[in-house]
Amino acid sequence: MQIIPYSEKTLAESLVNSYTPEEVITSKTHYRYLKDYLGAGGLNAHTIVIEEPYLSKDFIHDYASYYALCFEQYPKFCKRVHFFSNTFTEDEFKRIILSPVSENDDFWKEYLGFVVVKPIPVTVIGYTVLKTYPHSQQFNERNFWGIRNYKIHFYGNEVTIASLAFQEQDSVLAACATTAIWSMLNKASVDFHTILKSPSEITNDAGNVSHDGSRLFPNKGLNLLQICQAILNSGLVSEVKQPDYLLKDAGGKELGKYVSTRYLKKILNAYSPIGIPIIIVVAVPNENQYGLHAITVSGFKMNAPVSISPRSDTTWLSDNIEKFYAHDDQWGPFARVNFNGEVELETDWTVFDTQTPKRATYATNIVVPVYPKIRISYEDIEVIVLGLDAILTLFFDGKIVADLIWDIKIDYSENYKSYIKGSTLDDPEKISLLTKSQPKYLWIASCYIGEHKILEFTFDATDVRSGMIGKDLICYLPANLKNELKQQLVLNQTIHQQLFKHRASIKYYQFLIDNL
Amino acid sequence: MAKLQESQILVKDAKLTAVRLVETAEIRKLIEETRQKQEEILKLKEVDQERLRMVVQL
Repeated sequence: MQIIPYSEKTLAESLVNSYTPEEVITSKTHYRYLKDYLGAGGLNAHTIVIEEPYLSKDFIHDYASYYALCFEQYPKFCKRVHFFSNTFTEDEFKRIILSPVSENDDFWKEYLGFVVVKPIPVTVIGYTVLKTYPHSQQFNERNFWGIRNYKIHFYGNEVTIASLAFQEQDSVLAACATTAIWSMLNKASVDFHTILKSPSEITNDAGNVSHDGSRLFPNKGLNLLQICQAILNSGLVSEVKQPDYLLKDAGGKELGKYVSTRYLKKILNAYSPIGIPIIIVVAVPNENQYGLHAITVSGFKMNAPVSISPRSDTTWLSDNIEKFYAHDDQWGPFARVNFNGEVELETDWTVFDTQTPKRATYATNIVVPVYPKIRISYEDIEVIVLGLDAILTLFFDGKIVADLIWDIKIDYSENYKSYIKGSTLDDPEKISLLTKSQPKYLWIASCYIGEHKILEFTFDATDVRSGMIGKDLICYLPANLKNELKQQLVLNQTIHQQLFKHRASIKYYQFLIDNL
Repeated sequence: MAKLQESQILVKDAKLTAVRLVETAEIRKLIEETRQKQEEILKLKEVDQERLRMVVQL
């Protein structure tokens, strides 16, 4: 055990191994990222504790499948570097670890997490669990919906911190896509259906050979099909979201299709309540060209909605997402990504781009890992919501104080029921909804006028697309407006019916009338 | 939590009553625009096979 004061210098020294000298460490993007994340402007680390030797369960799998078979005698033991935001001596720390954790709550609150240093050349950053910046589920705050609690065993003490595990790709057993899947599985595996695997196991799951027909290891990256295959073999299925934005230069020349920032925000918002991190494939500036990279999103910051005047375009609550946080295996955990205009993203690849002007990052695809029981996708619901928005626009006829705002999310029905308990509904209606059998996953489309929720539509996320997926309609409108809306639906069935694209539209329209 | 009041969501002195709609040019336009948006969303579900083979390798 070694206890040293934290500084940028000691951080670099603590990440060194026998194959990787300090000058290599300080040239790494991870070092640049970690010194900011752990520094005074970040988690404000003051002390480092080095635990060595340390046997990392994650590395030992990769060691057994590859490094043990090398002629070079790579060690199998790692070291684990712990960070604290307080200062203490070795004697004080020994007293702490000898006494029960419960007697030292104030001390362990200062624990910031750890980085495992792997005993291999250059790609040393192994299993890493670091605290997030302060967060909550409120508007205007960081909301890390893709994290979990980690029980960390440290010299006989069990400490719990909320985070999402990170590591850099070793470029042998894992490229960025494998590492992105690994981080995602770290959260998803909390559910017993999903299996957490080591990077080499994930790469193996992707296929027997590399995408170019050559050997799988050293790994040269995965294509989207291989990413989905690896996710499937871990117990989840993937929804691959396609680009919706044709990017052109000033002269009108087509530069490629990318995911618009608006669509990306909708998807992040829609799937976030399930809590499984979302993988985004991004085109990032790399030397003189662009390269494809995968990052894992675990949170975002959403601003509080502001009332806007009624307008012809549909307004989405997700438009208020200001930035998101992603594990980028070539930088660090919870890396901030800003939106810029209709299609550009500002990742660290853009911020630290060596060219002038700095080149933007673009999302090319979104891979949403979901539980297999979820069969209805976001797009199926948005199509229905667009029809509902038009019906309500005709009904309100410009007489509302603010535009209609829509929020589409998938959630567990148990969370939905908790929400119902705290709603303004009358008790008999609450009882009716709470005692009703519901599918495990529900799509919920909420409609607001300004900050006031007026209607909520729920859909069975486990049904078939051509089925009548509507489950409930909750109306928060005053009784007289509710009656007028129902009457409007009855009177204008022929016109309204044209607004429903889905196959079960006739039944759904009747469902709306019956449930108002 | 208090129940929602008309005055919180409707402009001053506005009254909302159900009306039988006539398919005017304005309503036709709204329907057409909505259907176009719906088509665009459904198109996003069509998978581009070529893109699935793009290698993510950085």
